[in-house]
Amino acid sequence: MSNWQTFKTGIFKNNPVFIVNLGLCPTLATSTSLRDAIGMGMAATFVLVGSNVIVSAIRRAVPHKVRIPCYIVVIATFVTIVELFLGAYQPDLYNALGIFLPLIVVNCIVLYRAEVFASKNGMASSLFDGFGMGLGFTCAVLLLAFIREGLGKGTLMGYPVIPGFSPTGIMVLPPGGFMTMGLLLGFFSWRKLRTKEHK
Amino acid sequence: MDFGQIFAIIIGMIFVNNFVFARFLGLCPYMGLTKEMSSAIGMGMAVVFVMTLASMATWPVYRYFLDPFGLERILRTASFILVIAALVQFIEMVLQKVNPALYKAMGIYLPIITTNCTILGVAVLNIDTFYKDGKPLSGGFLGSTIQGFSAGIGFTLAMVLMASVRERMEMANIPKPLRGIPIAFITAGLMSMAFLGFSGLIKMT
Amino acid sequence: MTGQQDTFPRMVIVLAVICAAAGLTLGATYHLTQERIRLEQERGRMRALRVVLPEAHANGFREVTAQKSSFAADGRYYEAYDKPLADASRKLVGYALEGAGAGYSSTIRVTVGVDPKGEIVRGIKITSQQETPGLGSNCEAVKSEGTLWDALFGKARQSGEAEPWFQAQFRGQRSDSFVKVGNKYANVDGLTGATITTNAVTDAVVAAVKEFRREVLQIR
Repeated sequence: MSNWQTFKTGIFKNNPVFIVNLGLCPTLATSTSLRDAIGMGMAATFVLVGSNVIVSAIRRAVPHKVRIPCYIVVIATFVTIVELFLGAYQPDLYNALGIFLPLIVVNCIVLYRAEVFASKNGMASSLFDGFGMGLGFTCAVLLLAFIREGLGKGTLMGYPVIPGFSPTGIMVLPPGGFMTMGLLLGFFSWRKLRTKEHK
Repeated sequence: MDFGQIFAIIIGMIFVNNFVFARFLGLCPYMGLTKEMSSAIGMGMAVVFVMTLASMATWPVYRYFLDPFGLERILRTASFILVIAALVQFIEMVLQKVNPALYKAMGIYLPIITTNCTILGVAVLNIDTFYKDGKPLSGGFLGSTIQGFSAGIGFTLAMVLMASVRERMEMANIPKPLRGIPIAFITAGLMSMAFLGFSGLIKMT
Repeated sequence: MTGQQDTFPRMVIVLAVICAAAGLTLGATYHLTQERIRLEQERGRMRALRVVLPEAHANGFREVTAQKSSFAADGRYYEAYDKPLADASRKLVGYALEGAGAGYSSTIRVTVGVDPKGEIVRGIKITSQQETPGLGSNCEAVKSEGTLWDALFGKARQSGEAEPWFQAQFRGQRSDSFVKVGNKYANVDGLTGATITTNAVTDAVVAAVKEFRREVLQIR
């Protein structure tokens, strides 16, 4: 598989959120506004790329039995780097993401990619895999945030879209998040079913 | 820490700020392990157990090691996740020897708990709650323990509610694309709407 | 990854090396960022002070710790002057206090500016909150002038300094005019669907000013 294909799979065919159903918590929690969504997506992508590359680099040196603790240390290091840099350069975003920033450590996508892909593949393809998966995750959060902020606040990136539109507050609250996610997942499985029937 | 505060923490963590319905934590096991009641209860018990112990373990680590040495920003995430991983491993070993019956009931769920965001979530939340302006509040250890325990109970409650609904949905005629996780999400949405009704039940301290 | 490599010393060494490398990386990152983080916090505090007491000079704030008082737990407040602290002809224009209240899902921290007599609230600024997105967190929402289209074509610029409407309504209110009627403050426009947040902010402001007047200004 070429690097480009590896990259593309992460965004569409194997989208970590909509197809593999991983990383659901941060997707729902940080999709109340597009700004938070972009921040979360970029932070997670950075951690994914970094941990994928390092895990791939050390994959031959790490004994099988202690591989998970080793991966966790690598991931936690990258997460802390993100935390420190966001605290220093984007304090507002740092506060807005709150508890979900350290929780990138336990975002299943990161460990899943380390275990399934990076520990078995070279550094270059792991890099592309990290980028692809990270972008796939970012797209998912953005899509959700687009719907939730648009309907729930009537704004996008904080700007009103349609003058006089009265927002549906429930969309930014947890129930709105759950239902949007359910309907989106339903949509994607409908598409999958349809392509299967056509074949 | 008086009884009123303890009561507020318990009610708050179970109903008002339920980890699943209000904070979006622990959704992976919530969607993955609620197809059957038995697995929901097993996972729920395991989470209560580990969460309580993790709260008891991480609070002192932060209070007596990270905070006094000024390492809280650098090592919080890394040390918490390592403490939790070690703790889970330890529980697994002890449980296997001491209480095989209990181990059989929740043993298979223990390994996946390490990467469950509820555990790390409650550890971080404890620090946020019981530290004010970088200074520890009195009763933080007790508070953390209770907060961890009741967050676990809240999670179990959500698991059991969902499992009982999903067991019935097996029989229902659901549109094909929505079967499985999509309808579970929509159900969770309805439940969390109901849980919104608990808002204002207590005041956060 | 073969089994014979999994000897115990090897596992320990590999783990130790990885941890050491992680520690070094983090130490270096922290070293790089800590100055910036401190500056950023300082700037945040300064920005809040400037918002709540716009009439004061940017260099006219002095941090004071009240002796022997229970004010704000550590007794910290700020004196604000109309000229830089170095200027002898400076005049006191007010005080800035920090208060906190229990919101719906978080502790809300707020900085309050009052006049020298502690009678009139000059302005408030919420410095930290983690309230429900879309409801309570609207206490920091800014009413935007233009639409997204204006923004895209550069017509409207949402300035970072625009004051949230909820906080703006506190400006110029007398500190003793906050009276609760039922479970609401009569002179505060509430946030839709977030009575707890509304009251928490107001409570925090009222309590901070009241305590300050009693403990520091000795007014009863």
